Amino acid sequence: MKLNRQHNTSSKQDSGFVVPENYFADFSKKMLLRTDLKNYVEGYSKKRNTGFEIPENYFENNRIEILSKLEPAAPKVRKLTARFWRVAAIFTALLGLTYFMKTPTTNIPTEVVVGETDIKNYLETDINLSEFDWEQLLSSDFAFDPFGSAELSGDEMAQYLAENLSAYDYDEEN
Amino acid sequence: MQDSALVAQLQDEQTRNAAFETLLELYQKPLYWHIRKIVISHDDADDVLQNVFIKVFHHIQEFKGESKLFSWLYRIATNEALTHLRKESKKTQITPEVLKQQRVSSLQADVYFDGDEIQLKLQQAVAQLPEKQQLVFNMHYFDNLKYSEISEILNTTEGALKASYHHAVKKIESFLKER
Repeated sequence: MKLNRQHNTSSKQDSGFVVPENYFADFSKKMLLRTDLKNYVEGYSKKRNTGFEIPENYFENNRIEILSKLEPAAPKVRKLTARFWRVAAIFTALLGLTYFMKTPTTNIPTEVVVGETDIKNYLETDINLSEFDWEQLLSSDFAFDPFGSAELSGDEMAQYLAENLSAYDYDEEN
Repeated sequence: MQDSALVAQLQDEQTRNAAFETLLELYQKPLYWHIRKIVISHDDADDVLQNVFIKVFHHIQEFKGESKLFSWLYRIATNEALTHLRKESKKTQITPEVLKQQRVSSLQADVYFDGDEIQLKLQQAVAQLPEKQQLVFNMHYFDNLKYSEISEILNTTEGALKASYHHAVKKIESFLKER
């Protein structure tokens, strides 16, 4: 640090003490700043007496209290386990939410045994299709084809008719 | 006025803490008395004063020097004090005006009030004024603030402030004559 010996050399008694460079210039500026402000503030603080009182040493204590409140708070210690449980809770919640958000059809059990009587009852009572609906169904996806795509020879056809058609059927046709 | 130098120090991280101590030393008394006249009770004035300085500390970077530091601090103090009074009145379900009148009425029993009969009556007279007139009267009569200063603090024209002060004085005179 550069030192200023000017004042020491000019003093009557050279004590050997030194001050930092520009100390007196800075000190003057500092004091000017403070006294100017102080005069300014005090000029407006010449209050008429209101009768209000304050506790002893209030301003000094208050100054200390305010300064203590401005000190940075100690950093918070976070436990890693707390983070784990938080993540686990979020994951569980998301899983639950996903489960409940699924459409109801996905929840129908796939291994339901439907008996012949059930189908019969359903067709007789529950299903309520008009003739038009039936036509639509049979003409498209459910087109009725008892022989499938199998090709039958003339002999096979004759044998089938002989086995399955009664005399009554012949009479009706003729 | 050289408050710009203090502001520069307050806004500089390196000099902030020391400058804040200077700020406290300079302004805590005038701001305390200003707040005290609004909230009346010492304990409330203490709470508000601390809030004011903590706010100033955290928001000093937002001070752009468009007004004087003095005015800016007074404005924060005024707003904090009025907000505090409103919050307190909400708790007791009465208006801030009534709350203040109640507080002034109980001043005689306050250990932190040592005024004589005239000072007590003056406080009662001020308490019955509308909020704006109370502020103007307190700042001009008790704190000797100029209208130009009050204008900057309350963001009101000097003409309007003079009119407010005039009305306030008339009302106070008439209040004191009646009692």
